[in-house]
Amino acid sequence: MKFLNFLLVLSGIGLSFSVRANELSAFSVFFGGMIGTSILSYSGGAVDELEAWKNPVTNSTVQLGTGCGTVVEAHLMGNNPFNYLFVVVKNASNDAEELLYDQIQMNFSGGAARLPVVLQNASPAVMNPSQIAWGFFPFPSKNDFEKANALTVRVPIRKRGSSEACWIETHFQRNQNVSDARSYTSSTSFEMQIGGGINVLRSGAQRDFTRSGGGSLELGFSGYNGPHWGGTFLLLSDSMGAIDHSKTGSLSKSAGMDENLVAFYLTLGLSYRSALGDHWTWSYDLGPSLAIASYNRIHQDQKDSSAYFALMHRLQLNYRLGRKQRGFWMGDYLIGVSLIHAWVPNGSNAEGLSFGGNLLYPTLHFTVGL
Amino acid sequence: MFSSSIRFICLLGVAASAACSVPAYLPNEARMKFKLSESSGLVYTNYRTDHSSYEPQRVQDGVKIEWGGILQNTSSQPVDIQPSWATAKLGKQKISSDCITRPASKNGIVSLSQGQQADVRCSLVLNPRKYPELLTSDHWIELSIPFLRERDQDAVVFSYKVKIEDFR
Repeated sequence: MKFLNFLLVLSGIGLSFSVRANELSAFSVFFGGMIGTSILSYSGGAVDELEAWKNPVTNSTVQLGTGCGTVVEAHLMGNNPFNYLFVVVKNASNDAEELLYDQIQMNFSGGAARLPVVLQNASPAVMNPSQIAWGFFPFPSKNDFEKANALTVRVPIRKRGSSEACWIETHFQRNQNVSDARSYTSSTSFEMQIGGGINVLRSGAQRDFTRSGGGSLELGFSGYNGPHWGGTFLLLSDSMGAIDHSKTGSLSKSAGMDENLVAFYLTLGLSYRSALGDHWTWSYDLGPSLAIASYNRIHQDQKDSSAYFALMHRLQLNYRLGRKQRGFWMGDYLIGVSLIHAWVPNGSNAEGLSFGGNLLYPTLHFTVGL
Repeated sequence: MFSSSIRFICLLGVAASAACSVPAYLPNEARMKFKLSESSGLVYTNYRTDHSSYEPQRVQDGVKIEWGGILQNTSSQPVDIQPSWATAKLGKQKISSDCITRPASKNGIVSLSQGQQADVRCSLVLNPRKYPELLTSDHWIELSIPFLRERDQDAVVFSYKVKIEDFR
């Protein structure tokens, strides 16, 4: 099984397809295919049936059909970037049959007619009597599902050696009572961003540091289970300079220039994102944070670190510069601005360093989404 | 002395009956054979995305195994499914089973017109004391769902097998 997944990963660019010699092994192989596809489309995450296209009676998208000496089972499935047609064909005849999977037709009620994203002019899958063939076939675009209320899938089968194909149709119907943006919105599952900015609007003890507008670096990771909700992990570092002793009134042991305080924020939180048209998206992240103030007095070779609880939230606006798609792989490149607000309720270390207060970071970032 | 012995024996009996009422046996799993088949315009699949195999559950008088699938009428003629007639066979022995359907049956029948689907889920209880052959090796249990192409005709039966593994 693991070996099969490995093979699928190696060989499956744009195609996940297999024919098995008997029914039992084919069933186990199907789950191998699921896992293999999931790895191939690592931009997509788990593949589920499309909620808006499920029959409420069966709670499944499955449609069954017969013809040309075969039995066909088809499902509509999807992950964040792609929708897939999952097809199983069983040869119920006494002759060898072929599935021409590169010619499967997907006809939407709005008029769009599509072919699956597979290698064109690929060799047909041969099924001997009682054997089955199956595959995941990506739709070229999720957008076709937005306005469509019905979908007809035509699966071409032909007897081995014959030149004429016989077509089997299955009909899918959208459930109008279910709203499922994931079924027609193409989005990334994982985003990584690198950015930088400054700190502004400091309040509380944060005002006691000399470097106003200290440079900050931002590294963020976000994972989304659908078009909207997900989790985020944010690392932010900020070089805040020295304590301004004239403000604190404390006894200065050295000149401020050889003191330096760097703040690190490690935040784990919830993320919500939404699209604003085709290219713009906004997102909001909120979560508790661990703020680490690392204080370094250089000429005395003195170092001290203190950890505080903090709360951080971030509002982002992103513009998609481009999208690359190759088979099961999809990548987005975005540029954006964000406002990060960090609040450290209180805290002071043994040196009497106080670190509580508010900070706001306007940042510019670059994001890669997969 | 006599009464305390009786009490001791009774306690033993209660403990024994409590222990025996829950079988000590549980199969590792009930693995279904992938099934996609057609009969007289009715197509059946036992594949569901949430079921690759059926986890047996321990119940009071045995081990419960659930099975089922989706049926679709692909012909232009109506079809009646009779879930109450669903049977299970272990060798030549019949094991009673209960089925629920979506949509719900009316008078024991689910009528499907062209293109309509039904979800049939059945369950049966296996008691290794009642079927001791289960303990000797792995077994296939044949499960079936009857349906009528026309109401005055004999029932046609879909059947497939579930493997009961390592019932020890």
